[in-house]
Amino acid sequence: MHDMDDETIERLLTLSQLSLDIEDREKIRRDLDAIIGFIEIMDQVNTEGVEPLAHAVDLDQPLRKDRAVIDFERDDFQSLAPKTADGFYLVPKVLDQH
Amino acid sequence: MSRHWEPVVGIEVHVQLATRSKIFSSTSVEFGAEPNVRANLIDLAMPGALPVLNEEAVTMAVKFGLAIDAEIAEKCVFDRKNYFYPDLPKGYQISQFELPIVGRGQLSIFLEDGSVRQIGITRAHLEEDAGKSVHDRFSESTGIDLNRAGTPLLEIVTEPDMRSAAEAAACFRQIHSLVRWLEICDGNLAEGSMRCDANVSVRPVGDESFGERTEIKNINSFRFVERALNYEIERQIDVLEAGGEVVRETRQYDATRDMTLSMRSKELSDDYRYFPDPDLLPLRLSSEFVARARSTMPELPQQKLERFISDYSLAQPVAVRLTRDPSIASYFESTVALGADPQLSANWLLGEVAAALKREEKDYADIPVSSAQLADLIKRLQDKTLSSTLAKVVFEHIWTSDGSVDEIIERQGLRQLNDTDELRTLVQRIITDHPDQIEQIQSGATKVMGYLVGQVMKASQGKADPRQVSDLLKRMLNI
Amino acid sequence: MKPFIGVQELRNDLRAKKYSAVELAHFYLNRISELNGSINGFITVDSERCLERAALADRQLAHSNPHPLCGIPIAHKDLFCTKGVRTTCASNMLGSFIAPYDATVVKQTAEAGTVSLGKTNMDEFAMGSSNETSWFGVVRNPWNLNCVPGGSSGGTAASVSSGMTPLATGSDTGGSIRQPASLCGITGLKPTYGRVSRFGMIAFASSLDQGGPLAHSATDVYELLAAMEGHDPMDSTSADVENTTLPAGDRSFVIGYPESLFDDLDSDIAGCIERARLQFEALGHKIEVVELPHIDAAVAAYYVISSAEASTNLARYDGVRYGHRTEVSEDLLDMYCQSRTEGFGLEVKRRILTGTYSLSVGYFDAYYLKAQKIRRLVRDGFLTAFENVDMILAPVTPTTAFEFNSMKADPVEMYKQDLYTIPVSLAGLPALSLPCGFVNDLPVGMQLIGRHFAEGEVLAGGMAFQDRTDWHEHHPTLESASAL
Repeated sequence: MHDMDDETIERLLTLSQLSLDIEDREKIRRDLDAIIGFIEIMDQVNTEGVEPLAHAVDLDQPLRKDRAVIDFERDDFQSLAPKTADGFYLVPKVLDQH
Repeated sequence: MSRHWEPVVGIEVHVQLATRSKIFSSTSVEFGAEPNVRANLIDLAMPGALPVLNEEAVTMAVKFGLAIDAEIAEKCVFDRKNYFYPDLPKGYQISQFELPIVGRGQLSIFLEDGSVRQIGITRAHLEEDAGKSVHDRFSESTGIDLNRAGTPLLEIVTEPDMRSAAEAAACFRQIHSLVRWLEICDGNLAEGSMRCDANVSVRPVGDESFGERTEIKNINSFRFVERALNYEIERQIDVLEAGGEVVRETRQYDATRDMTLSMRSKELSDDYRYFPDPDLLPLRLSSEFVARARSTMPELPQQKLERFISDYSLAQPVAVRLTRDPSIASYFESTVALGADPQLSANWLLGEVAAALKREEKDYADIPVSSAQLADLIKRLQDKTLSSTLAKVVFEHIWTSDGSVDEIIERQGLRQLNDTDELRTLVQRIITDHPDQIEQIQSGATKVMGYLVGQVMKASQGKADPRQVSDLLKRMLNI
Repeated sequence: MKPFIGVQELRNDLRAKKYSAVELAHFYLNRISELNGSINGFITVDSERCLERAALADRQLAHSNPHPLCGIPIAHKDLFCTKGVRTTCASNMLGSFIAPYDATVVKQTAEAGTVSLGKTNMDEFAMGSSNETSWFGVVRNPWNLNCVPGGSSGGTAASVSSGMTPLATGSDTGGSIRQPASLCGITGLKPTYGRVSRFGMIAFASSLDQGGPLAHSATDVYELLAAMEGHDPMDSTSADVENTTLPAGDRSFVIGYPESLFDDLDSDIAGCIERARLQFEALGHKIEVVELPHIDAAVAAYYVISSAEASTNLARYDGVRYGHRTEVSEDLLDMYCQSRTEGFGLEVKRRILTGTYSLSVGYFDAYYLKAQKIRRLVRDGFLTAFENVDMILAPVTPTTAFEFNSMKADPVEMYKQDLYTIPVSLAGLPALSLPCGFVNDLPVGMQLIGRHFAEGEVLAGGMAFQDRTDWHEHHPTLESASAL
């Protein structure tokens, strides 16, 4: 009844940058089937003409004055990084040009 | 180009807004800093960090909207565009998808032949810029610099209203001029302050429907827009005329080879999963906010252009060039306000001044001559104290050194020889020295007159006015 | 010194110099070293900084007008960033992450004079209702070590319940303060969305997450709320409203009673709440039956919305700027994928995948948008109910604390545990969870749900109830825990 086929799981994993071993994959597939089945209870509610609600409290976006501050040292943050050099964060070589 | 095909072009221009701080954080936006010194915990997407919107970025977007006569959204929403890339720290870009801040508007573009076209602006929305990936610095790794991450961008999207590469370039140029005019972007193309993407397709002339299009990404000069599109239009026509099909794809322009190349499609995502960013709330702009933005806007180039044509009787192409850049327009206006003739002022600004600036690779904002000096110079032309030749000499003086125009004229003895005794004496001497030529003239060979005028000019060291000399000669020879 | 002392008494003792803040800190640190081995409520105990802070508090106490919570120990759920202290979110992903800044809540509570003992355990990234998903091991319920403490603020609730700290912060996305408070027999408040700053609180689901206080009584919860709340310009969703004040005098409230919610509830638990209802009536409050529509669909809508938001909130954990990075990787994509796969546990992965699914092309309208529409109906249902009542009395959990692994097989069963708490979260309302009885020696809780920003009213309701009852003064004996 649901479409949690391998292809869908694979697409979701790619979009999420995750991978699963065979055992977990099977479990997740079953879980997602169950979750999607459960979620479909929403279909029983008539929502015609109802505006989606993103936040429960009606507030407007506040605006910040355009003031620039530098209140940190690069090292405060770079010391947390797995790999840096000359102030750059390093990742495995990206071949594709951007 | 084959006459049977019509190109259809729309562009998207990314404009870096000239705020002091980033769009969602208070980090200063400054070009050229050491890597990652302009990346705070929000820009780095530290756990728990949250975005807060920069008011100035909103004001700037509103100004642009007002300038193109567009609807400013009463309510707009920021969305997350999700994809993984190392220069995108949060794993999503905050942008606007369904409800952009600026809706449909209009832009006039001016073509080389003096014609004007109206281009529809589909929308303009606020978003954050990504960081930069540095591929050539480390042998095994790519370096990530997030200084640029979070720089406010206004993405301006046009309708597919352009029908040639030249129109697209003119449109990019017009947007460039407008955002500089509004002081919402420094317009520095070399530093990436503005980038243009172009969508292009071709169709048989007369067809209503559009052909399949390609997108050329990240073009950063007016010239390259035109070249890239011309190449791409030719390429598509070649493909179609050979019986092939244009493939919908993203291409990039290689300036050194002057051609467009297919970009390997980003393999990470084609499903951006846009949805409203729950860390931000709907932005509601009051009419007071919009009115405040409007009140700080300068006279728009279009309004100024129309005024220049009607008040100063300038030709449209001249007015277009004078209103392309706010500094040249205001220079022109202050020169005229000081009593200089508008036509002469325009000619000088677009002629001598432009040439001198180009020679020294300077901008109109950096003209070393004050508008008062230029006005004086033009007035001395008007009252015939100076000939145009002399004026150029004076101009060179005021360009390189201080001093008033009149002082320089006096000090250097550059006053034009007018219909005075001095000039008469000079003409008489030339007549006396050239009896053969006089004889020829009096027997009808009027062409020789030019030679005599030249001799007088030479003897006057350029200080005489050729027309006056000619008149004087004729009078003195009774012809 | 003894555990389970309330804030007022601690404050009086500190000011009367019965003991110093340093001595008090030592007392709790000792208790933690005695009990944490079996409860596992703390992930990180920072004795050194704690004692420094306590010494500072003693100096402040020596001066006039010390801050109200000066010298009083506190623990922070391990999703509040604490500068210089490990902040893990109970995940391998952030297993050695030393936060470079303080969350607003941490900063404000420190400014109020509290002395932080350390960071409490939780479900990984706050995703769970049993505290079984922590990378740092399960948390045990102080009332029965074979049972879960609830989640996701399970470590917080168990630490307060076992007397390892008098005050603690938690966060509530779909019930993560109220449910563990209920299962551990303590008092906890989920404030109105926007009441407490989210800046520096590691996000699970941004439109639902709300930090809040847990303690032994409504009075203490109120004291801690006062230190946590307030408008924060660093959080766009922070509300610029007056701070919480208690209503003047002994107000009589109209309390809504959603009868239909009790239909499927365990009869012993229902009995406890029924008794509380009578108590409220005896206190002079009026009870009125209310209807809360779409409760079942609310749970589904919650899972769609929270998973969707989580799926993108957790995209920043890519092994580039901080957090776990895999040892060896072939290329960039492999680095991302391996780092994230190793860094996240299975429940987190499940939610990321669910969320990604519901935001995908083709499913967005059917799932995400539909869920947001139901969210509006649920909120409007509450707003309608609040036209006639001041607050609503409801159950917190369908059962008392359950045994470990009893719900692991079926995630949906676990999700349904939050049936009574989720609608309140979708509606962004404040709700106080407080003890109201025992079933088989395990605590039972109830919640008082208020109007937006009416924390003062539900706290007043809770205080009035606790004035007349002593459920909140029952404490676990912890014999087996100390014996371990």
